[in-house]
Amino acid sequence: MKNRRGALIALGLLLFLAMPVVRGWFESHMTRHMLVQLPLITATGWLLAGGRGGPARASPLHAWNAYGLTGLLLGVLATSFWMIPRAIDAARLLPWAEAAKFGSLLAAGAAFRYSWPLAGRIVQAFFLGNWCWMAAVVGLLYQDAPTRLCAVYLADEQINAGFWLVVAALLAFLAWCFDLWWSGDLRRLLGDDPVPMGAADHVKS
Amino acid sequence: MRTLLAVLCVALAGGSALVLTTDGLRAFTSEDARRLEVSEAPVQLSVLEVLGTDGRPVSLSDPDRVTLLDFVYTRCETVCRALGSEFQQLQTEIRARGLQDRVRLLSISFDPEHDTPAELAAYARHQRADGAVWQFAALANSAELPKLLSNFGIVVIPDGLGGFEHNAAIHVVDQRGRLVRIMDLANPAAALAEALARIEADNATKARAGS
Repeated sequence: MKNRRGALIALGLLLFLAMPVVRGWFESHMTRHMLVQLPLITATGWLLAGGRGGPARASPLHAWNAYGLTGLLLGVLATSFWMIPRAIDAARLLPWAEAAKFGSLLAAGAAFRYSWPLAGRIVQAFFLGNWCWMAAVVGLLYQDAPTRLCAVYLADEQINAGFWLVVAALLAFLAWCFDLWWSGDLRRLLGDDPVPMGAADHVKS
Repeated sequence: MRTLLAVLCVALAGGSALVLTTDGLRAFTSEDARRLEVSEAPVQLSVLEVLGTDGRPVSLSDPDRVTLLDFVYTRCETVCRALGSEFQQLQTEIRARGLQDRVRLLSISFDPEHDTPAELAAYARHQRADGAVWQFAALANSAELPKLLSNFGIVVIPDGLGGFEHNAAIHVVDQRGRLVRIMDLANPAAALAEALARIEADNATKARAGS
C-alpha cells in the first residue's frame, strides 16, 4: 500500500515536472535548470523505482549488477552527460533532447535506488568521489570560462550555476561522509568494531 | 562475469552518446558545433529579402566579393559595440589595403521591428561606415527572422536589461551565397585572411578554367 502511494506521488511529480509551463520556469535559468530540475527528475526516477517494490534482494537483475556497478555507472554517466553545455542547449531547444533528458535521468534515479544499497562503501566511494570531483571541476570551468558556453543562457547565469555546482558537489561528498560516520561504518573501517563494513546497511534494508 | 559484460555495455553506450553528441569530442558547446558544422559542410543561405539604409534590397552575398557578415541590433550597448569596433578596424584595414573590390562587410539586424532603414542609417553614420565597404541591413519581413537566425545558427536571448544576448561571431559568406566559415569575433584579422584566401582560390580556379 505504501509502495503504491509512493509510486503515485512519483508519477504526479513526473507529470508536474513535464508540464510545459513548469519546464519553462525551470529552464529559463541555468541554475534552476541544472541544480533544481535535473536533480528533481533524478529523484523522481528514484521514487518510481521504489514504488515498484524497492530494491528486491533476490532480483534476477542482480547477477548483471554485482555491487551495483552497472547501475551506478549508468547513473553517473547519465547525470554527468547533462553537464555538457551543448547537451543543456539541446535540451532547451530540441524536444527530442528534452525527452532524452527526462528518460535518461529517470533511469539514472532508478539505477541509483537499485544499486546504491548493493554497493559496499568502497564502490560507493569510487563512484561518489568521481562524480563529486567531476561536478566540482565542471562548476569551476563554468565560473572561469571567458565566453558563454550555453547559447541559451547568460554569462552571469553560467557563473552562478558553476558556483552552485561546486556547492552541490561538496554537499554530496559531505553527506556521504556523514552517512559513513552515522552508520558506524567509519568506526568499523578504522577497526574499532568486529562487525564487517556495510553490514549495517544490510540489516536496515 | 555478467556484471562485467553489463558494465562494458553501459560504458560503451555512454561513450558512444558522448562521442556522437560532441562530434567526436570536438565540440562541447553549441557554438563550437555550429562552427565545426559550417567549416565541414558550407551552408547554402536561404534567399531572404533584407533592406539597406536607403530602403532598397541588399544581397546577403556578392558575386565578386567575399562577405564578412555579423549580427547586430542598434539598441545594443554591449557586444555589438565591440563588434562595431571590430568591423571598424576591418573597414580601416580593407580601405588601407585597397581590398574593397574583394571583401565587403555586412551587418544584419536581428531586431527588424525597431531597426528601420532610418535607424540603420543613423547607426551606420555613428559607426562611420563607408557604404562602399560596409553595409547595414534588416529583414524586410520580420516574420522571416526565425528562418534567418536558424540559417546562421544564431540564438538570441533577452539579457534581462531590455536588450539581447547572442552568439556573436564573424560569418564568412562566399560569392555563391554559402556560409563557409564562422570566425572568432576577437580575431578580425583571421577573418579577413580567410576571406582573401577564398578570393585567391576562386581566382586561381577561374584562371585555370580560362586557360
